Amino acid sequence: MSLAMTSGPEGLDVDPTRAGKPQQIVTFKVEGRTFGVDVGAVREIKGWQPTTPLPNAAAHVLGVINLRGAIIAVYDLRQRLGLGPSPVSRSSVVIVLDLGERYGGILVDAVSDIVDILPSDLRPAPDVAGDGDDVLTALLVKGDDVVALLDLAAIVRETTHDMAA
Amino acid sequence: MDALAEIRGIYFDECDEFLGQLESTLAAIADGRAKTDDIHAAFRAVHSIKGGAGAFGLSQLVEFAHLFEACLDALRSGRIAVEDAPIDILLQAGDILSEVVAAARDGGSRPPPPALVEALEAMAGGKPQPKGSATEIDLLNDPVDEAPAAEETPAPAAPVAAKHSVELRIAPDRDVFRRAFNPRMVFDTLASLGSIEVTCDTSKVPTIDTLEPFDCCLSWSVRLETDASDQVLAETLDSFLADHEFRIVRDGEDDVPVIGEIEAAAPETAAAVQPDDAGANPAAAAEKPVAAAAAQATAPPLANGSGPVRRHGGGTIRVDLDRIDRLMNLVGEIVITQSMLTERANVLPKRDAAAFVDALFSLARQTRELQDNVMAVRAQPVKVVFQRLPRLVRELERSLGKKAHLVLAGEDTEVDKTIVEELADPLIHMLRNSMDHGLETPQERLEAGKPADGTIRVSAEHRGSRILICVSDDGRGINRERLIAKARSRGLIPADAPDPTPEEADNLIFHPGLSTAQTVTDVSGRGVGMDVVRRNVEALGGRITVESTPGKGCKFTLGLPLTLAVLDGMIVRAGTERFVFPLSSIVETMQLDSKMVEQLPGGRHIMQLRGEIAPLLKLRDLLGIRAIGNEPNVVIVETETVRRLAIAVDEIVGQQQVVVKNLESSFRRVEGVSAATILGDGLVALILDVDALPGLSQTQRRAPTTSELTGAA
Amino acid sequence: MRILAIDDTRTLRELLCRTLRAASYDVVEAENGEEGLNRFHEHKPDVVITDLNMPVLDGIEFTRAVRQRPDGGEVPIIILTTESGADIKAEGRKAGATAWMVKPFDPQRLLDMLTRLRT
Repeated sequence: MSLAMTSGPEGLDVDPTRAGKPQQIVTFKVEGRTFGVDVGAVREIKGWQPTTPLPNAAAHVLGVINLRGAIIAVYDLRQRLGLGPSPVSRSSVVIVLDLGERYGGILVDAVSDIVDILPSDLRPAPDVAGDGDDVLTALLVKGDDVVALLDLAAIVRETTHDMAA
Repeated sequence: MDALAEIRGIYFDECDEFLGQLESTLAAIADGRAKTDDIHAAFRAVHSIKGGAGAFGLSQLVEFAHLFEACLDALRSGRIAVEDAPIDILLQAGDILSEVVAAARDGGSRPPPPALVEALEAMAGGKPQPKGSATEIDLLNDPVDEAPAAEETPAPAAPVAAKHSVELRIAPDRDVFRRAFNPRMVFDTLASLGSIEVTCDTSKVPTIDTLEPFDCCLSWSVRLETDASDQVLAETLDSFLADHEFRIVRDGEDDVPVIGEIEAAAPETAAAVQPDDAGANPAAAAEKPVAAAAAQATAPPLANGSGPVRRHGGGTIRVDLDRIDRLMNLVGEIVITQSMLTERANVLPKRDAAAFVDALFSLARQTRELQDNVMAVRAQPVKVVFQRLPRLVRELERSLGKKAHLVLAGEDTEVDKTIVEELADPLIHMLRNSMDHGLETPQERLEAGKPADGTIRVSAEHRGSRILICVSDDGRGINRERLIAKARSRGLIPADAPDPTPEEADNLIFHPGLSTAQTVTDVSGRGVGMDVVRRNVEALGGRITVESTPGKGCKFTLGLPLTLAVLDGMIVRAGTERFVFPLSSIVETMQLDSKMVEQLPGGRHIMQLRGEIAPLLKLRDLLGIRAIGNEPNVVIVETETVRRLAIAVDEIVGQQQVVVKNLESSFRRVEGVSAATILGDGLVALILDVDALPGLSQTQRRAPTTSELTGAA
Repeated sequence: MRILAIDDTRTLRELLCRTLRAASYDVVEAENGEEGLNRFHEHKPDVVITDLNMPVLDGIEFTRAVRQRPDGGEVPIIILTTESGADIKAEGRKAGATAWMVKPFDPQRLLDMLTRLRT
């Protein structure tokens, strides 16, 4: 699986030459923290529906769902961030993303907002090896809030250490 | 641009057809059974590929196709006798051409091997023009430059961009009106390049008593103020006029009058010139000078249309595959909705249910019909694959030193595109096997009282909802003794076990690691032969069987479903999840009787099944499903490696046709799962890859039995 | 205005027909010269555009056959081909071809030519 995320529609480069071009970010909450993806990558936002689990997949792979006749995999962002499995609640939503070669969904607690940002607002993600930190591409300071922008390729990646038994 | 992309798609589809044609005609040439028509067809195939490539600016393809075309032209024109043709080079060129096409399709590049290009150039340049052809190729790459008239036009010393005045002498052949020529076409075209003034020379018009109304006795002189170069002018005139019919005279040059070639035109030609056509009517044209502006003013309005009627060229249209796939998806969704409705029918009050169920039956029938019709649209004849075989046989003849007649039958049998794509590999393998192991050498055949040339027959036919492909040869048949000896020497048949039946012995050919060939050849390889074929075929839900008569020959029969897009499945439940077993792999389903189950010392379970031992596995363990339940049912399946495998499940839900949805494209390959489908409630169920199930149980190690080894009975 | 477009290569025929239809011409298609003659008879086109190298009946033979028809004398025939040799062009003219255009064609040039053929 090789998805060229930086060149994809959701690519958020911190290239200063593009500092003037505003971008729109869909932000959402997981465990009280705010995350964001480029609005261009978001295909739709839908309520939770039961997933069909896949044998021998990583723990953050919840399974597959039927999206109007197409089959897409749904990933648990909380699990991927090392925060344990998501409790599914009424406000839980699946954000359907264009991952380049395919669609995929991420399960999040709630969608917050769509915000306009300038690429110059972005700060590179701190390079500390923490659980789940590899899914961040950049940070964005918005008032008191810090929005962590996600590397979509990293979310769907199944690393060997988190493979389910 | 979308339309262009679409046409590009059509082009590459068409290229496949042309490449197929080319291959079979080259095959005919190689066999020495080529007729003139074949050579023409080969030429046209390459020519057409070139033509389309030009339209899309695929210069590498144009260049190579042009060179190849020149070689075929040498054959077509008889410059090179067909018998003397370097057939290997042509075959190789055919291969490279398809690679160049494939590269162009993918937006890549595939430079043809220089050695081949040299060989082709040598062939193309062959007899009459020793060197010239190479430059011709370059010219063709840039069609703007290729108008030959440009070379012959007296070119000015320096290219002129600025506005200048130029004089054009136009003296058409006498019979020019017989080609529906109208001088005004030329004047209008020139007028688009600048301002013109036309003077008509009527001096050659004879007196009325000798005037032949359909002869052109006029010539014109056109003064043109333009910034177009002479080359552009020449090209413009070249569309309508032969080189000798016009001349470009620059200011200051000698004003040499052009004398039109006066040909003795055949007077009986029935071509008519409209008398009221100003340009063509000598009398009207004689008014001089004729201003171009006036000519334009009298021009009738264009394209005022002859009614909205659109006619179609024929009874077929080409449809983009994507659209058909979308249609197929929609039908799949209707199937799902329909099963949803069926489920809901159960909860209706009895009174309403009857009418509802009736309507559902109609819907089911119509959906089925709709599905069949969409499938029919996707159907392709197996010819697509069959036409590759003659070439293969020829190559094998050469490398194996054998001779074979290939007989093809049922080439028009249609199957779904998905199956056609999967057919090629097994078929080629089977054919190789027949050529390599089946057929004897010509010497051996003569000694056995057979004709020196063997016969291989490949046929296709429909049988129910399956397609049967047979590959039979009149060779030596399967060497059973050898197979059995080999199986015994490898411990595959226990020393004390009796010999397998002839059928069982023949089926050993599908066993991994057993090959009957005395010597390992690069054709069939070392034991990678029919076992691989069988595995691939079964992965598609197909079956392969063999019938052999020692000394007489061997016949492989390949049965495949007509499509991979839908599948007849058995839905089962394990825990809360439902799974689909392909019906084709199921032997039977039954309730689990504890008396039939035994636990082996290692903890594994086996099941007694009418004297056969079947390993018993729990589906939930295999797939890692956390669930409670007592799994009271078993599904007995036949797998590639295990003849009878019992899988315990919680419930057998029922039999149903399901739409196959690729899982790899939406996630990745999942071990034990071949695809997914959407069930009546809109939820996804996984379709099991039965052959992978034994491998999923790591603790489970199978005990080989004789019947297992012999594979499919 | 009705145009008969003859080419055995589907891709090029398609390109040609789309170009023409986009310019609001009424287009009749044929796959080779013989089919072209039938269409000519049925549809009485105002202009014919034909390929040269075709199976069954090639462009030159087609042109010759049209010119021998009582109603075929005044219909302009454009030969659209990759061939550009002087000999083949002369043969085409002799058969009665009105104009010659080299493939791959520039749509605008072709459309321009069409407007002029019928002025």
